[in-house]
Amino acid sequence: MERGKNMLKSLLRDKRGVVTWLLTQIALLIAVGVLMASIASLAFYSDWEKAAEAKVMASNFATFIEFMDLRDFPEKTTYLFPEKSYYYEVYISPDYVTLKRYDGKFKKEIVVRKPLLIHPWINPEMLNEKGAKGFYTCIGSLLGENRDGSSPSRKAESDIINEKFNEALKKYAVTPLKLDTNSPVYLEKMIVYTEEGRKEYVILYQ
Amino acid sequence: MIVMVGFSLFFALIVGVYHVHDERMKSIDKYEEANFVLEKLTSSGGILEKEGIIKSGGVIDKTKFAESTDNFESIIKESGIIGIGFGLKLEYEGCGAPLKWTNIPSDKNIVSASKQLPVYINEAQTVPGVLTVMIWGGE
Repeated sequence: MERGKNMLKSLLRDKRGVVTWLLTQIALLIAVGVLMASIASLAFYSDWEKAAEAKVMASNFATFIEFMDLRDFPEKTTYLFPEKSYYYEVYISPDYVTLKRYDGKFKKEIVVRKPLLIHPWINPEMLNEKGAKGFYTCIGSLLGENRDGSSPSRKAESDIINEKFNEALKKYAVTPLKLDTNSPVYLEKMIVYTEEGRKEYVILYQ
Repeated sequence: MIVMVGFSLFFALIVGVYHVHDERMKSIDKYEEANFVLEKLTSSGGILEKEGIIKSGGVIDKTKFAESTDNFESIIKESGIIGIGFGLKLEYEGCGAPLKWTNIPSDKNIVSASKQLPVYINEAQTVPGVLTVMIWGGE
């Protein structure tokens, strides 16, 4: 017991390693501080929440377009972008849906891109009215009313249809269409009858 | 010191939550893609029906499926599906080894979706089967 007390006293009186110990503790504190700051910045100051939200919005729209393609019969529907307290932009190209928002903390612009599994026909040429009917009227004005592709008895030339489709693909691949997020987007399953058979397209317009 | 280590662990957990969420969202996206490809291929008017592999009523012709394993690449091109690769596998009662379109790579992350469909063996036999679509590539 006496011996233990003496050892403790001699340890407490031993001031030889105090400065080294103090410096070590300060270095450890700084290292932990840096580690905490880096992890905290990842957790609380990165824009991952905003990017995740943008990804979900882009994904919802892309899925909506893709599942329109699964419809067996011609059908028209609308898609409304969600109302948000911040400004965001949506672009559509034949391969991607791109969503941009400008309220990032570190990086001002947050851009999210969702690839599409099918090529939608963006803004096809339409005449007199919007939608598939407008498209048939446009084709009818080129090839004649009896060859507008609207039914099996009015088959259109497949070369013309393919040419129009490829033109739209190239045009919007180079310059994606900016959609108005305050207006509905019209999506329509359109069937065009050609000499090569029945061709199905998902057309998209506003 | 212990408090600071504790805080570090807490923040690391928060980052872990984001990572798990991100991985789950990617998985859900992939499974939705696989499901879409499966539905598109097996829909009426889809490429499998056009090639005669699926007969009217959604019945898979086993003989046509086996024959198509040679020209599956042209069928894939005509399917209208872009940005990903995919393969098919058909299993049915009494088939032994499953029939496959043998372009499935072994070095990629593959996600699959399956659907039960009747399989036409011959005029006297139509058995239950499972058609599986496997996709890879993309985002």
